[in-house]
Amino acid sequence: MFLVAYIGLGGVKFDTADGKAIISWEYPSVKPDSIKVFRSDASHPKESPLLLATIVLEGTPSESVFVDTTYPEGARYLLRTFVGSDSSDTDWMAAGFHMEISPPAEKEKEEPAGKGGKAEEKPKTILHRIFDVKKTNIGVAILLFITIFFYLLNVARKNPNVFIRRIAGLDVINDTVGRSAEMGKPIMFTTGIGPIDSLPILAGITILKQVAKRAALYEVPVLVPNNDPLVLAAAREAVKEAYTEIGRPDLYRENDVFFLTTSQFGFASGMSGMMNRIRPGAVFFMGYFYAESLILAENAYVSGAISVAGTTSIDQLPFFIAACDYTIIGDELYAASAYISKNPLEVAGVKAGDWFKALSILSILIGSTLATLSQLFPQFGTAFELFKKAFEAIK
Amino acid sequence: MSGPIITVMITSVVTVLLFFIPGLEKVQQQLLDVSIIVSGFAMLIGIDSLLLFHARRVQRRQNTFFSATLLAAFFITVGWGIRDWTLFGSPFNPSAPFMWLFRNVYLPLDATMFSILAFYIASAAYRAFRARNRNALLLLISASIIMIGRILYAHVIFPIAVSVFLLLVAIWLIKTSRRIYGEERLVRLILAVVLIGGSAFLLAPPVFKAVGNSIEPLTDWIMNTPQNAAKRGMFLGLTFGSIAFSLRVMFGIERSWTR
Repeated sequence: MFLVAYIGLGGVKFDTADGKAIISWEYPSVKPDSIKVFRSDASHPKESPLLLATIVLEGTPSESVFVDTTYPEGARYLLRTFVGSDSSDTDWMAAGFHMEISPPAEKEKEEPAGKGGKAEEKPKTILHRIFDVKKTNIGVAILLFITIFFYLLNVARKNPNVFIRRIAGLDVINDTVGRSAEMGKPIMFTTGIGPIDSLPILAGITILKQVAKRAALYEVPVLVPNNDPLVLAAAREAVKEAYTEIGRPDLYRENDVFFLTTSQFGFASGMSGMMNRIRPGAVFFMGYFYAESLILAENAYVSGAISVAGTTSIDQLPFFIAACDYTIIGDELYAASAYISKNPLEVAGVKAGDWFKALSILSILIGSTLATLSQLFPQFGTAFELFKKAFEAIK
Repeated sequence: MSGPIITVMITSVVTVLLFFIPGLEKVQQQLLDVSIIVSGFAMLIGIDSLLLFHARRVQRRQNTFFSATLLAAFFITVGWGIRDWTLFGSPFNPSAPFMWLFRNVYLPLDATMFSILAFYIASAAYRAFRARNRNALLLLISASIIMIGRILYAHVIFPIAVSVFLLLVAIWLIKTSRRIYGEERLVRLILAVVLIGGSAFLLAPPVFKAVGNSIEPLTDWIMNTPQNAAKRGMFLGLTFGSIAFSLRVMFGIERSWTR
């Protein structure tokens, strides 16, 4: 990574001529191992761009120009340099653009200036010194969010009957704990892989507390293998607190909440082995998961346990949906604790997220309507541009 | 309000403010350094938990073999690492014998667990791709198209697969029509004949080629349009959900993680 910071490419230019896109660059004294050229156009969004070429630089570098003969109007390009397995990108480039792949620390200073070369630096005012004006729109959005949040909190204090829609995956928690009690089997709960500062892991711990409360009521042991020592400490606190709140601190066993390993597949292997040996009545996967998600979910199925999963990892959700009995999808995980505890203040927090979602849907609708109208009637063009600018960083 | 909640409130509000104040990247970096140092010390809690857990199991003779293996592996790895640290400057020095342990024990074990995933994908797919209802049928069809579209000779396999699918639906219609009488039976039989005709028509060379060529754009469309739309919707929900959750944690409304 440090090597990439010193290498990069200089003077990357992008022009078009005769329906072709011409990208040129200059090599610094230390050269990268290879360069990849990507294109994003109407049929290839930025999330999955089209790889046009891989230029491997062996010995003295030969090519410093790439020509795309199939340039679709408005396409954008991205250059990625590789030094071993480390990589560094340009930003997306449009026609008439020039920029560099430079060390990350220098990137901030070298603002791309479009057709006219580098922008002239403006003298900084006091406001510029104490506030990053580029982030004004983010600041306004956060303030709006906080206002809605506190307004709803106030409403919830006056009227605690705040409505929250049914979430099937959370309704079954009682049943699964009850089933485990009837079968005389323990419950297993994991928050997956990640540090304590990861929000899904924190959300998982809040659900763990609610599950542990039910388990304490039915006198069902809760086994919590952990991947991170700080998560372990938080999980122990949550379970201990749950048992105390129910009035059964005598049932709490510190060793039931334990550390397995920080290794991803070591964790999957350890937890799978436990599920197969202990054969728990229910297994909860609530937090953040990577490739080990399916290994865990399939082993829960094989062990005969009811499996309830919840994650914000969009890539792992299909695996959980396919392999688990119940799945809490995406942001439902953040609402789970509020849903189970029915605490009006927590529910109000969930509601604030919903309000903002509604606002964003409204802005998407307004934006798409204005975009359509500006195409049909040019007089709407200014309104559309103004609306668009509200969501862009101030330059 | 307890100490940890006040600490969280102060540090989180300060971190948010630092995001908007230019030139204070150093302070942000220092806060991150503090969290890294705390995590480093927390590893001791993890090791303590792990060793106590397994030592007690050995003592009580519960799964003694597994626990004893773990304890032995732990002490051998730590001991070997410390030995190579003193002799080679770092256990991760390429010429240090510790790296032999890493390359020949840890990496193969890790790779084995990862490769098992392929079999789990097959078994999970078998359960998920049963067309139990309309949604499952949609999942089955779109997943089949994507899977065929991503393999070699997709343009040959796709028309054959569509043809076989139509034939299977026709057979199912004929089979189920035996228990039905009247107009519906007639409709089902006519539909079955049409599907059989369609299945044969697909194998005619020009149609075969056209259908074969449609697989790539069809796959791209599914991935870029409905798939991306759903994904972006979820991203949007996740972002606002996470902001709301962060505020709940920041202002001490959500405090399950501590006492």
